[in-house]
Amino acid sequence: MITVGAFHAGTKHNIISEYADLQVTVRSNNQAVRDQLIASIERVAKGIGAAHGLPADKLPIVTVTESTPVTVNDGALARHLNGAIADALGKDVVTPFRQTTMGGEDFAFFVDQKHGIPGYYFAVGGSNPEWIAAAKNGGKPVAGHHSPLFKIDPEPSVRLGIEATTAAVLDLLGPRKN
Amino acid sequence: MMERSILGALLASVLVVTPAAAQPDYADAIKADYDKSLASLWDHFYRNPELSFREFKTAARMAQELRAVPGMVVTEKVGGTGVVGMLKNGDGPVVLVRADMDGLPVQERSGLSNASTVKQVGVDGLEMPVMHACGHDVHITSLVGTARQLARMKDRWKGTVLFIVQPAEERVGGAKAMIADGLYTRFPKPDYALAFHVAAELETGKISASEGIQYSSADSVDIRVPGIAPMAQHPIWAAIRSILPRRSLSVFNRSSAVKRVHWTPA
Repeated sequence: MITVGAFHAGTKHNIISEYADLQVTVRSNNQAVRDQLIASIERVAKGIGAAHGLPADKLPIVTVTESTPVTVNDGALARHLNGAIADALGKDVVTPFRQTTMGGEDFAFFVDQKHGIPGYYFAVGGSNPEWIAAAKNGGKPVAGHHSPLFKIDPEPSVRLGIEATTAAVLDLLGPRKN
Repeated sequence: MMERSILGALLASVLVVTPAAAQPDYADAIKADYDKSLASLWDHFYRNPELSFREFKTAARMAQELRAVPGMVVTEKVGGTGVVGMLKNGDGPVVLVRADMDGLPVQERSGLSNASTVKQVGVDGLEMPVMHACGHDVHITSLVGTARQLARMKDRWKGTVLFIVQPAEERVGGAKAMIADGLYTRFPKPDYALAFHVAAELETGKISASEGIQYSSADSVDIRVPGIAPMAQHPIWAAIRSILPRRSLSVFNRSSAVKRVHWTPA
């Protein structure tokens, strides 16, 4: 997925600006696709410039400024902790995971292959079921992350975050492991 | 499909003989802590968001809260504003528990009574309105609560827990900065790493974790298209030559409307 989130150029109607700057975010679920997308952006940008007759020193400049790899849970650890949390908090608490967005996370740096540390990253529900039901019935949509309207139901979110993390740590460091 | 229906039948038979909802014995203590302390701590964080790598007050408050937990050894300024709380409890594995703490440059319009009115100068030198528009306030509040519970129940576990308060998740620089500053050399290297994100798309009372990909990769890519200053004899043509690639990059085909726009600058 490629999103051009910002395009800035110029100061006035009758001045050709020195630069036009585009800010683009690129999302993917694997390294090969990621490499291909970024290489394609550079190829297309420079190619369009060349096709319009820009000299070599005026071709678009493509720079990758901030990056985070895919956040991948360790399969065995995730299966184990999903079960441990369900045992501790109730089976209805743990719902099957569906990737519905292409959000990114820099937690990947704590667990990436260089460190060889198995990671378990989980989502904790933050929207009151009434808000979700109202949105489904044509009411106000549930505001997404990064929206000025974003809101979370704090008490159940904070409490479940603590309960689930505590259950996971007690399982990993509890008597069975020692 | 058949295998799934057999599995479904098995699960159904298990559910019949298993109590539907377990309630851990620490749930009441967590509720009591929320009522007494964590509700107001969350409110404080929600009203006072800070931008990436500028989380000075948030980090100081987190250090103060973690220091108040019995047995916790707190180190500040790890990777900029990062905080590490280490709770050792005998020999055993090391578990890292991470919470990110930065807000976003968003002007809050939630209408909540504790909505943020904060403005702050970010690392890029620009003053911005700031909002906890991604729920990191929930993560750090929960981290404090988890630390208190684990300190209270030391008879039920052995090992070391590292509580990580991470800066600048939103600029995807904070985790890297903490590791570059010796997170895995100055402190015990973790055997496991845990984190959670509060999710607006998921209803309260539920958690959800993948057994594989949880989140996508993200790359910020900047494209700078240089302009060409118009020449004296051919001002319009020179200008068009520098503008056309910019338009093409964004639309990929040139409509007649776009063509007319091209002629206006001269």
